[in-house]
Amino acid sequence: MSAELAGALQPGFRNFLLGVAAVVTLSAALAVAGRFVPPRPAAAFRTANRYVLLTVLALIVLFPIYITVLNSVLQPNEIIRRPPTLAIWPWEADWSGYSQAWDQGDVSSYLLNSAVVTVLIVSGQLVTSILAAYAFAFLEFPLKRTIFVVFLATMMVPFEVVFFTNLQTVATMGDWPVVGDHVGLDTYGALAIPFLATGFGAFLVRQSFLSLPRDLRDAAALDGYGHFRFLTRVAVPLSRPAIASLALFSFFSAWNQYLWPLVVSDDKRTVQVGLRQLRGVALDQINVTFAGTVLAALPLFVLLLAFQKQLVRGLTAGAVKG
Amino acid sequence: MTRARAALAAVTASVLAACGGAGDGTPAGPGDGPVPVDPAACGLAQFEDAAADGPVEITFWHTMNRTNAEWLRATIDAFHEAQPDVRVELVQFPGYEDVFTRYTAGLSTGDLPDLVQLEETTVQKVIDSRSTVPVQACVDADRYDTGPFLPRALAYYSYQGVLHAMPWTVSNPILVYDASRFVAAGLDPADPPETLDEVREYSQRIVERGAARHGIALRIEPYVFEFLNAKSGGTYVDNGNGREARATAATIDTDVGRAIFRWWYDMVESGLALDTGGAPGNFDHMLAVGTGEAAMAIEASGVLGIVRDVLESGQYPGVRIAAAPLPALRPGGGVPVGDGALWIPQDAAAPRRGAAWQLVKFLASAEQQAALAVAGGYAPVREDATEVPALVEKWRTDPIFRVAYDQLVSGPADEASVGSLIGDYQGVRDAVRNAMTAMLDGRATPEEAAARAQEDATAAIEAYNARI
Repeated sequence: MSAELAGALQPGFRNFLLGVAAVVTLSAALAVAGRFVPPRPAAAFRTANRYVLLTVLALIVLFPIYITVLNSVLQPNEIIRRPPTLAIWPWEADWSGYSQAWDQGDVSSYLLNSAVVTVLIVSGQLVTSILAAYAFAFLEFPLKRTIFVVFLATMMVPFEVVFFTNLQTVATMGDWPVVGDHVGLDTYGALAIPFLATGFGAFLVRQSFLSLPRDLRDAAALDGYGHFRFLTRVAVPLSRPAIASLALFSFFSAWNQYLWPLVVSDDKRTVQVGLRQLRGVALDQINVTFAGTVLAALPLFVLLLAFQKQLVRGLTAGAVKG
Repeated sequence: MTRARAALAAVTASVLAACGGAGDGTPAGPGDGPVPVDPAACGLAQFEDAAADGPVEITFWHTMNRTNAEWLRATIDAFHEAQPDVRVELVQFPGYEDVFTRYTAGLSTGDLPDLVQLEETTVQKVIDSRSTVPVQACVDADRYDTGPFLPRALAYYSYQGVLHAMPWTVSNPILVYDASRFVAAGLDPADPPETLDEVREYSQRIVERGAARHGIALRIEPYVFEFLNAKSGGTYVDNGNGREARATAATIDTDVGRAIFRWWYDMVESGLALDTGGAPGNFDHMLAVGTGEAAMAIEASGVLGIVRDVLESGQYPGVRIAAAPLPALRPGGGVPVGDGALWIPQDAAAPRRGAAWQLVKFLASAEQQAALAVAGGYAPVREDATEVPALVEKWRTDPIFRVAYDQLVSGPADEASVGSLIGDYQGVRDAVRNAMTAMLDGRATPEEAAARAQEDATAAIEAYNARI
């Protein structure tokens, strides 16, 4: 019966299900076995179990990345071989896909454009979020709560809703005097401007500012610190985890944008739009597509590995007070 | 052959005539008038004035990829050399979907090109947007001779007698098969199946003789259903396939539609066909032909070259790729054109519209249509392109590349083969895809699936019409 069921499913999906089923069975078996061993070795055994399970899960998660990298160094005809070649790594890796993607595929200029836009967006978001958060956390002004709620409300509005309004704004900004050439369609400005401020960023940093003890504020005031010096010397350094995770989040979302860059720019195509350009129907150059994908994802991997701790800590920061 | 072609021309002419010329027709439906054609809108006079002072620069948005993009760049260079008046800047888009998204966004900001290549499914939407100069205006203004063009290619891009876009990169789905497996099954590779019943018989033979594990590999693809349906004489939507007036309902739950669903289901159910799923851009059905999982598959003629290069690369020993017209329920049907056409947005300044028309004329010339057919495997849209030596030679040495053209000029010119005009084409395709997936998952009988496709597609059409 299970064979019939499996046969009815798509081959790829079927293999995936089989994989999941194998993992579940394995971990269940280990868990059951763990119960039948005597109490003392049980703890060590359970730890071992946990490692086995986590390793298997990690392998599942890593598989798509592995297959992308693998395909980027295989010849196109090896990639489409069915059944696939079963090798962990090819004997003769062919790195030409990378140089083709870099030069002919224009990935170099896509990466440059993405880098410029991402840096603009991340720095813009950091500045606006920190300043707004400071105001909400430390200053008293009329309608503070209401304004803060309005800030939060912007998080509930999907970007698609304001898409056309933003587009028209950017299009008309091109006619502005002096700055028009830098903010109109087909400029880095157009790619970045709608994302320079976010309610989420202000919220995240405010939470972190609120967790700073009030005494710090008073001590700083006694030392003659004004708002700006307190912000830069005390509040920001102490809120580094939250600020770092905001930077990472805005980096990821800026880097991965697709629709906005597609619509506002021809000359300044970013890497995600460029990747689709690489896709095409060309089965005979499919390794170039994979190589481009790896190149586009590389900055994200590096960031993720470098700032993993910050990322996790930042997410939970402020979750539990005290 | 010649008789069929003459009949085709006659019927198309009468269809066009019946629809009325520019300006004198009566509105065919609520809110649908024939689009008035003003030859002055082409901007030819202004273009000539401007060209006297120096070249006119235009932007051309296209979706040609890889080798086709290289071909286009070389062609534009040739265009620049051939005349001093127009300079073209090419902007490449990843695909039809992206260029259309961009075009729609541009409607609200005025950020539009002077010429754009759009997919065949967008015709109704673009006409409804009233954002282009009908190519008819230029044809009239320039007294351009459309005589050599295939009537069906023109008819697809015409609505109520007005030609809206110039067909350019034309392809259609064909039957691709491995001749070696036919031989192994004792079948004559020179006599491929013409009907869906014959596909079944051939498949049985192939499986019985062990020439391949399945007869044919089928990807769940609404586009293939559309062409099977059209070639079997079925319309896709009402009101003469959306040609007499705006379509109001799908016509999928018909004898023809149900028979195709039934055939598809039976083939997969009996194991004669291999179902390779519905993921777009997935080539498992073609790879199945390479590995011997199946002997036949259906694929767009435009990718034939690459498919053959890959499958005959030595990776799959013994594979000999051949191609035949798409089989249908009964022989003798015709297929509409598919793929890309050229549109001239009306927002551009008049001289640029006139300049865009110069490029359209160049790209639609017999020489360039032949060159495109040689380079990209597209079907030329005009008969005299088939006499250009380069194409004659290509087709002589590589006859599989003329299949798409042959099926475009054969069969009757009726409302089925002219192809459908639908506003929410994607919505209709989604309905067909979902119904087919449900059927092949065993969640619906073929008859239920056809009914469901009909219902969902009609809902999509109605929702679109309500928005217009």
